[in-house]
Amino acid sequence: MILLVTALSVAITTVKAQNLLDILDKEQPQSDLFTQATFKANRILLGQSVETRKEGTFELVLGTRFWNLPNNESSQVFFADRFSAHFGLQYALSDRFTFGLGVTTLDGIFNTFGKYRLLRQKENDKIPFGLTLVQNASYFSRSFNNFDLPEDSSGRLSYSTQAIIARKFSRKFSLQLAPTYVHTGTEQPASGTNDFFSLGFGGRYKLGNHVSLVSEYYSLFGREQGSEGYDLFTLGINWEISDLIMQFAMTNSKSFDDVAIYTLSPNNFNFKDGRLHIGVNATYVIHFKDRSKKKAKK
Amino acid sequence: MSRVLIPLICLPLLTLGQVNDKIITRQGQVSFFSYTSVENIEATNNQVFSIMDQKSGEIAVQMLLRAFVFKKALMQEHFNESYVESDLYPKLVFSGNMLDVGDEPTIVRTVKGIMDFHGVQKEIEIKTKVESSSKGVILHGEFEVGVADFNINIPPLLRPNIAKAIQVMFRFEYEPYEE
Repeated sequence: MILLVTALSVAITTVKAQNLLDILDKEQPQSDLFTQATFKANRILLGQSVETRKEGTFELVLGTRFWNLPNNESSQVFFADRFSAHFGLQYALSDRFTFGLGVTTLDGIFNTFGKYRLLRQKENDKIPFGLTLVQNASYFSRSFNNFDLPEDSSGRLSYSTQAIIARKFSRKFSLQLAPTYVHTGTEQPASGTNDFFSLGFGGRYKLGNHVSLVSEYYSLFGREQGSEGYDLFTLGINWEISDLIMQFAMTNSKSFDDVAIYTLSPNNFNFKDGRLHIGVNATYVIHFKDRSKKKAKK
Repeated sequence: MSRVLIPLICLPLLTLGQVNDKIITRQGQVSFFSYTSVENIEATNNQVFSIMDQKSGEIAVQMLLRAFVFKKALMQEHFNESYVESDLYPKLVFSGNMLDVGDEPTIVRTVKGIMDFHGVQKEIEIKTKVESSSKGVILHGEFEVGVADFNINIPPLLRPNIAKAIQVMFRFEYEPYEE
């Protein structure tokens, strides 16, 4: 009896002496937060990423691409023989929906896309991955390289639809899988079909607090690899500086929009013979919405 | 027998009574400000937990770094991902003691303790105003924290944007703690 009472009193005194921090640990609700920064921008390098921006965020995108012409050693042009630039605007209407517009100089493609974030990965793994749907339309306005502009305007529109599944595996490593359906207005790049299916892979490895290594590969089915174009490959660096994100890319694509990059790369990824295309995408982020005020109103 | 038993039974009852000395807040406010000529940065956390033992003067504070809300969404992401690394160090924890505990209302007191933030434990001393309210006690005040003290790396390019000493403001409205 005495033993029991002593044990009881000792137990209660230890509860009393229990560290205040342990009480706070118990009081603090379990974290139910969304995983952030699976990737750092709307695009990994060229292809779409699982990320969208937060509501009221406006983005200005300026992209450049430089490359040399094959067998053109006598060229007198400084730095690179050819140059293409892309100008884009993106706006997040809500935390889940982002809308974008763009135009590219070399291929004259006007593109527009809508992106909806269906599922967001959670830190506690209640939702183990993120899922984003992307619908893109590209309007071809001129012939370029191996693309011939059709006479009728209905053939100048092409579409791509993507379901992007991504998971941030660790603080350094993220991976995404992007099954993509492309419907082209003309039978290009392969004759006899307007429908292509592509499977995309994208990855990010964080090198430092502000720098990450990124790469993408999109395997396109339904055409003959080689004579009818090559699969898209990119390798580069994402660098974040405050409101600016710089994406340095090496690739085999000359385009920026979501149809031509998957279907119209004229050569494989290679460092030789004018096959290497290098470029920088600079994205400047402007916030039109003060998030701290939204919280205060609630 | 009963002479032994009675005090033994009374002992746990006595200690139980002391539970009421504890006061808690679950919606404490902590804001921080960084003022430079380039950029002003501020963020607020309205979900700070703090508990205090009024008899002993012990205080504990705990907050999730992800709960800081910034004006700019991207800045909030950068803060968590690249500066405080909240995926590695999700919480800021402070535990300390209020020196010279007393009963007089509205008075400035000193809290001395250890701040555990970004993997660094550092002893700090904070002056706090103590006010009594209908529910309990209110602690509020401000102090400064050096960015370099807590091992937070700022890239050279952005050094002009972020102040070396961050001003921190806090307000904790406590109420009695019941288990």
